[in-house]
Amino acid sequence: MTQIIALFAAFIKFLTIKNILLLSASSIAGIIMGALPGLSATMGIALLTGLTYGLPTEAALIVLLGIYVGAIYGGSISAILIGIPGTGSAAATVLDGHPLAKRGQGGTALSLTTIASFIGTLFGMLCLAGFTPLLQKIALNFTSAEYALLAIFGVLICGSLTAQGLPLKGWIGGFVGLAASCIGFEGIFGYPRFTFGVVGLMGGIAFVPAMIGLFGIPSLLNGLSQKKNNTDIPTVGKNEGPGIFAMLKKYFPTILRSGLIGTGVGSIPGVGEDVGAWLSYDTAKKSSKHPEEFGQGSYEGLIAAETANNSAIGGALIPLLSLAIPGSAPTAVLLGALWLHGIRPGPMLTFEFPTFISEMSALLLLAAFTMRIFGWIACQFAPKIVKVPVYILMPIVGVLSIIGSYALNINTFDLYVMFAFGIIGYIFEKLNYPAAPVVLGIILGPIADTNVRRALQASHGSLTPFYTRPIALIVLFLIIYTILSQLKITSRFFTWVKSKIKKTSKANSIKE
Amino acid sequence: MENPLHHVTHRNIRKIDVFSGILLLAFGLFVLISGLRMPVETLTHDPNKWYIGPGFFPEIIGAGLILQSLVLLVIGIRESGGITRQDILRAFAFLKSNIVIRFTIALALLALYIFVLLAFIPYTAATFIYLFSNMIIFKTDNKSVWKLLLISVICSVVVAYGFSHFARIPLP
Repeated sequence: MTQIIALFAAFIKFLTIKNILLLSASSIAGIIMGALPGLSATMGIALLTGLTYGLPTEAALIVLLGIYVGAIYGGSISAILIGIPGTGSAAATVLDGHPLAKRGQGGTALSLTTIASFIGTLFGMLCLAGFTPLLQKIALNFTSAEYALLAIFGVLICGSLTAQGLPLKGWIGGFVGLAASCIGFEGIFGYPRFTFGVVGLMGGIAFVPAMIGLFGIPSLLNGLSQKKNNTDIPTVGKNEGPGIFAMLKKYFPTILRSGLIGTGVGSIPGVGEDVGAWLSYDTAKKSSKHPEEFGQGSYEGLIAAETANNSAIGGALIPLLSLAIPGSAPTAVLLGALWLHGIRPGPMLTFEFPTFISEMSALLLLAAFTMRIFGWIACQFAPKIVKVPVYILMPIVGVLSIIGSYALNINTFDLYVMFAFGIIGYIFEKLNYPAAPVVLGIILGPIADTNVRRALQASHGSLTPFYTRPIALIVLFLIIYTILSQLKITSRFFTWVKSKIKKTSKANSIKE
Repeated sequence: MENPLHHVTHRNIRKIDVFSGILLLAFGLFVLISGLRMPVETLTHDPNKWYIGPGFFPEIIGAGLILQSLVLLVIGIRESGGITRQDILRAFAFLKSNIVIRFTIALALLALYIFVLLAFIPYTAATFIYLFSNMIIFKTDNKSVWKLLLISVICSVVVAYGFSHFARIPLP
């Protein structure tokens, strides 16, 4: 009850004309960023983190959340109109959105995704407001052992879920990120590691330039290296889809399931909106009465993907605020933005900033409304937005990447970091190594490093706390499960066990 | 974005994995050896407190990378069917392809912008040169050079003025 009152009070607090205008501008910017292939929510937040440093904390959060929510939705616009997802989270939307657009039902598809994204964001917001305080209470019992194991689990699960093909490549990416996090003065003795006498490396690798390099520069290089002419973009057309209440009535099970999947997947460290969208789409197809319609313009498929990817926003904010572990790439950047403004997410957040969680939930609610309003308006201008040629857009992305990397610390060395990680990100992308675990490794590396050593120091070198404390034991089990579940030998073992059980039960039934 | 290697078969990906496995193995060895060279514990120099030294975490990461890259090598060698002379010739041919040439030019222009232009000439001019050169080189439609010149000028002035005067962010 107190949480509802706090949420309502925060909502009223933010309902000023200045905040609404700021949120509207950032929502529009986010929708445009999301709609343009090559840009993304992560890029948008990364570029603007440094730029919002001069703003008051409240305004900075409004801008960043507005961009985040707008961009995750905006990806569906290009996914539907040109068959290219504007963001990774809209990849599943292409399957049913683009066929609808080709049939002249682009308006209907865009309306469905706008409403589904709105509902998804609301669902995620409710979970954020409800579950974050609970998780914070649990996190107050965390010691160094739990934090160390959680950081390792975050890197491993992110690697497993984001890798295409071999999960091993995701884990390798995570370990490369952990290795990069070792650069600089380490956290306990201040000993310089891997600095090679270079002054710029002594402060460590700043993760915003690294992230811009890993995500933005490959997009730039891909966009310019592949000679692509603009494709014909179908007109948006009339909206003949159901309204919000009709959609809720007809597709309620799909919406509820997608909201739960999106929020759940979003709350897994480093995984984020794209996995949530795919998992939800896949589940909707398997549980649908008309699975043959999926991929041909199914309304249900569109709704499942878009509800999940937007509800993942709220889900990703849950571990961010309660444990300081980002649930997705955009929230990883948001973490940096929060630190920049003196806000330290984690179990102590409720004590230092008692109303922060309610305020974030209220902002997410407001962002959902502005996205809903401006999303539909943006759809009318969408064909013009996505028509910007890649050879004009990508160099501008390069310029903004430079500013975004430089603005944070006003340090030229960060540009070199961005460039180096850009090359690494490009090579990784070509070799099917996901970039998200690298980023998560850079962020969680210091947490894993200092907490492992502190835990061992407290136990005088004994590993006992890692497997005797209840929460540590659960996380350790999750780590072991994550590794074993991806190994072929494990699946072969379980297949053998299943066949043995079948043979035994057959033999027993014959005897009877 | 479409991966230009999308047409590459599973076997070919595994062949490339053999090379990346070797590189990662070398990297893992470097991290492990560097960690072993770091002091065991820097306050009391007590060798029994090996677990809190600065080298402990790099040793774990290095060992983990070595293990994973060995597994990747084994998978790569097993599933690639071996690396033949034709694979090497195909790799060299790919390096001469249009995609690689365009990639190299894009990377070179970005490097020129970061390491040379921003270091020696004012930001607005450097940005204009970077934007205009990219648009001219990578142009895929029949937009006139004057239009691209105008777009480059407007973008560089708007970015420079907007960020430095409105957002008050120092530019490189």
